[in-house]
Parts: sequence; structure tokens; C-alpha cells
Amino acid sequence: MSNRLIEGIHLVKEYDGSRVVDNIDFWVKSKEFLTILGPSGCGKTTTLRMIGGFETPTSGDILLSGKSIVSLPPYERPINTVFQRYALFPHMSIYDNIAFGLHIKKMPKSEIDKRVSKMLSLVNLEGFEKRRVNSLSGGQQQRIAIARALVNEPQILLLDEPLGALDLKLRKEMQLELKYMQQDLGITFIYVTHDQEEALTMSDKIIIMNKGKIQQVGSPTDIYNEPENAFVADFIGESNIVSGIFKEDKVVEFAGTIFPCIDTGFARDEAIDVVVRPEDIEITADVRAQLHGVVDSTVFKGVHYEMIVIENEREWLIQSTIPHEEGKQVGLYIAPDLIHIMKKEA
Amino acid sequence: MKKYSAFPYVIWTFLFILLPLLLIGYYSLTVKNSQTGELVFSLANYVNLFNPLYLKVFLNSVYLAGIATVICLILGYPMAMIISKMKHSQTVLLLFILPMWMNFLLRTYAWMAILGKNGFINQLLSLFHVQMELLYNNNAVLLGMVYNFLPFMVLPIYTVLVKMDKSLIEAAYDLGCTPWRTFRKVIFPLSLPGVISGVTMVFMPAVSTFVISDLLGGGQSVLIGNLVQEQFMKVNNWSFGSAISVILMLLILMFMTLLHRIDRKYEGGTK
Ligand SMILES: Nc1ncnc2c1ncn2[C@@H]1O[C@H](COP(=O)(O)OP(=O)(O)OP(=O)(O)O)[C@@H](O)[C@H]1O
Ligand SMILES: [Mg+2]
Repeated sequence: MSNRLIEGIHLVKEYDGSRVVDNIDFWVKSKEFLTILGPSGCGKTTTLRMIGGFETPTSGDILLSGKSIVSLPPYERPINTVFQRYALFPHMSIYDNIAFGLHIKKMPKSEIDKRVSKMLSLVNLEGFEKRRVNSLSGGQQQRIAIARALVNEPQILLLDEPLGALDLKLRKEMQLELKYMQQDLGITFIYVTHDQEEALTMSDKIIIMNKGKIQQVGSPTDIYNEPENAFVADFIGESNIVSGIFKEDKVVEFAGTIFPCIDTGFARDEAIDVVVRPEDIEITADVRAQLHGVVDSTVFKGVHYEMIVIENEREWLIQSTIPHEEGKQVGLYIAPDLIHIMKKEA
Repeated sequence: MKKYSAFPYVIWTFLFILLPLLLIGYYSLTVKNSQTGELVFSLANYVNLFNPLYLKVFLNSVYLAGIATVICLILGYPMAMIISKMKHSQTVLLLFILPMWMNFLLRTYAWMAILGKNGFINQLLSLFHVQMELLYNNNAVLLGMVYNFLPFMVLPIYTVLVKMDKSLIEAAYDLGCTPWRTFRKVIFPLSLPGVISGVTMVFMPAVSTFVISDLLGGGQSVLIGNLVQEQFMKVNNWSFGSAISVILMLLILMFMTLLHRIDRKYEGGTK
């Protein structure tokens, strides 16, 4: 309990009777990098805004170090936000933007100067003090927005898709820089994105949301390797998802074939979903082959080949470094530990 | 082709803006020879203006227009703010502007009917056997100015406020500003362009009006506008009337330059 810095309890937010955030519970440890991941409209921004104090939950509570903060206005929370569209003050210089929070706290000028220039060098924009906001590129404005929030040394930094407007290359760079800053400064980050790759590279912990509900909470490897349901599996990456039947512990049937697996704990003959990652299917000619099909297409993707194999009118997406020509008869093999079994969604 | 498309505007500008200005300038620098009726060059019109009587009128005009502008700002800013936060702000704004669709004279006559000796207020007061002289003084003129020009203050301020990026306000809260400090540090500075056009749009017609001072001020409250009108329509001294107009124009020009300065200063960052 004591290592939970911030905690959401049964959080609900309704707009005109429709539930946008539906009874979610979560907690974050100090210095952790938490990502809220989910498709557009799933309630990520709303959740973040409740933590920041810009929306009041319809019901539920938010605890900071064990004390409720739901009744505190944003300016009394030790939390700062990096807004999606930067929200830099256009009538102020870069210096005044970054100094804004410290100025409000009545910090002495010499101390403010010191901190502002330290922040500017942290975001690699030394000497930008006197520049005007609209003379900066999108990427530079983003860095200033981050600096403006971080300079206040908040306990928690909220970031709402901060890299959404940047191009791919810049985004990758900033991902690394942000992660580095977070570790360097030891600040807790709560980060919202709908980009699963971004979430997997940066986070210590990921919350996956859909339609206002939490689907799964876990580390990036947990979520990637052990998705709890078909939504998570599908959302977190390309996957083969087929219906199957759980025969008994460590035995499952799908695609008309019995497979050994390592899962236990489902009911006998329970209908389940089976997830197999494209890179986990082996194309083989030997006796291990469990399924047989025809290569329908082969596309080179830079590092690997992506192939579609048709087996009994089912498509299997397969990634492999060895290409197979289209039209060729192949056998497929899936190792027991690479078969993931999930409860069917209600 | 593009070069010639501006041609009609050039003619328009010349005929209806430049030419009248030149004429006014010309008239202001001449006096009529009383024997021959010829116009001869003279600075007498401008020298005449230094008569304390006229200086007093100028001061009174600037003073009344200034006070009216300040009152409009004090009333109009909160009004614009409240309207901009309403759910049906467009409708409320329309209701607010609706009286402006009525004729300007009519609205001012209505005030005469309300404030006059046998007007609405005095009839009410007579129930308590009180009589008050409400019309024909500076206060009545002020009231007329504020009433007639207030929408010109509210509209531009309302426009900047509704267009303002709400995330800037949230960012100020986020960085520790109370609502009042958010207003002072972010909302007000960002709304300055609206305030400046509001102030311009109220001050300019107020400083040059003659209808309001004529109807509500009687002979008691004389403004620059009345002087000009008098010279052209009654005294028939176009030269002196033009000189007054030129000075009035310079006054407004100075005022606008000043406002422009303020606007620029805020644009260039704080402090
Ligand atoms: N002020 C509001 N009034 C009514 N509905 C709202 C309001 N704010 C958000 N919603 C609705 O709540 C739902 C969730 O919105 P939210 O902004 O939290 O989604 P999101 O997960 O951040 O999506 P995105 O990835 O597109 O930013 C949406 O359906 C949205 O239309
Ligand atoms: Mg969002």
C-alpha cells in the first residue's frame, strides 16, 4: 500500500449519462513510467484529466500518497501536465513560459534563471530564452512544453499523446529522450498514447483500456507475451486469433487439431480464444508439422518476410527470416509455450 | 491583369477619401475675404482654436469620451466574459445586440422620454413629490454614450474570448495559478487585441458625436462634434469647421498610435 504514489479507486466519469470511464482501478509506484494505452475514444484523456484535476469524477476517488485529492483544484495538486497541443503561452517568450510556474511560486529570480537554463540544456535548446513561441518548430515547442512542466519538479508528470504531432523519426528520438529524462530526474510519468509500439518501448507498466474499461495491467513483456483477452492480443500487435476448445490441462483443440500447450486452469471443453504471434509459427517440412497449407503471399518487410498461409480457408499470418515461394505446400508447427489461451470475451 | 484589378479601388480611394481630405485641409488653411468672397491663405482658423472657449470644448469631449470608454470597458469586459461562457452564447449575444438594429436617433430620443422633465423617471419621482433635472448635463451625455456604444466594446472582446484556446487556461491552472491569477497573467493579456479594438470603436464615435450631446446635452454640454456641425450648418464658416475637423482627426490618430504601442508591447513578451 505504502509504495503507491497515486491510486485511482472505482473511478467513473459520465457525460450526459453515458459512461466514458467505467469503474477503473489503478495505482502507480513512485518513479514508475505508467502508460495508458487504448484506441481512440476509450477514455484515456478523460482519465488523465481527472488525475490532473480538470474533470471531477462522477464517482470514485483518487489518492495521492494515501490522501484523497479529488476535491483539490489543479493548481493545488503537485502534478504537472504536458498538453497534447503544447499549450505554450503565445504572449510570452520561451524564458517566461518555462519560468511561469516558478514565478507563480515566487521563487527568487536568480534561482529561476538557473533552473530555466538547466531545463533548456536538458531539452537541448540552450540559448532559446528570448525566442518567441511561434518561431519554434513543432518538435521544439514540444520540448519547451516538457521543460515548462518538468522545471516545477512535480511529483507526477502527466503526458497526453505528447509526441502525436511529430514525424516518425523525431518521435523515436523523443521517446528515448523522454525515457532518459524520466529516469534521470526520478519523476513519475503517466503517459497516454494509442501507439502500442511507443507504449512497449517506454513503459514500466501499461494499462490497456477499451470502451472505458481496463482490459489488462502489466509490464510490456507480460502484455506482449501473455495477453489476457483477444482485444489486448489484437491491439498490442498483429496476431492470429482463432476460436478453440480447452480439452484439459495442457491440451487444446483449434483448427480441427489437438495441440499440446502449457496453460491450465480453464474448464474442460470450455470455448476459448487462442492467440499465436506471427513470429511464433514455424514453417517446416518435417514430421513435426501440425497444420498443412499453401503459401498465399510473401512480402519482404525489411527485417523479415511476412507470409500468409491458407489452411482450410483459414489465414495464418507468419513472420520468418526464410522466404517460401507463393503456391508452395508447407507444414506449420507451433511450440506448446507459444500458444496463448484466453477467455472468450463476453 | 492583377495590376489593373485594383484600379476601381484606387479611384474610389481618391474620390471619396483622399479628395475630401485634401479639401478639408485646403479649407482649414484659408479664410473668406468678407468683401470679395474669395478664399485666401491664412492660419487664422488654427490660431482661433486656442481660444479658451474652444479648448474647453476639446477637453470636455476627450474627458467625456474617455470616461464613457472606461465605463464601457468596466461594464463590457465582464459582460463579454459571462456571455462567452454561456451555453447558448450566440443567442444571448444576439439579444444583446438587437437594440442596435433600431435607429440610433430613435434610441436617443427614447432616453429623452425617460429622463425628461415629464419623463418616465420624473413621473415616478413625482409620486414622492420630488423633481430632478436629469437631462441636459454631462451625465446625461455620458449615459447616452455608454448606452449607444457599449455593444461595440462587448463584441470584439467576446470574439477573442470565445476563440481563446482553452488549453492555455488549463495550462495556467496546471502551473499553479489561481483563477484570478490566470485571468491576470493569461486571459486578459491574450484578450488585449479585443480590448484595444473595443476601446477604439467606443472612443472614436464618442469623441466625435454631436447627436448625443445635442439631444441629451442640450446647449449645456457642447462637444467637438457640435462645434463642427455648428460651423458647417449654422454659421456657414467651412474654413473654421474644417480646421476643427483636422484637429479632431489628429487627436484620434494620436490616440490610435498610443493604443497600437500598448498592443505591441504586450505582444513582445512580458515585462
Ligand atoms: N466534455 C465532454 N462531453 C461529452 N463527452 C465527452 C467529453 N469529453 C470526452 N467525451 C467523450 O468521452 C469519450 C472518451 O474521450 P477521451 O477524450 O477520454 O478519449 P481518448 O481515449 O483520449 O481518445 P483519443 O485517443 O482520440 O484522444 C469520447 O467518446 C468522447 O466523445
Ligand atoms: Mg485523448
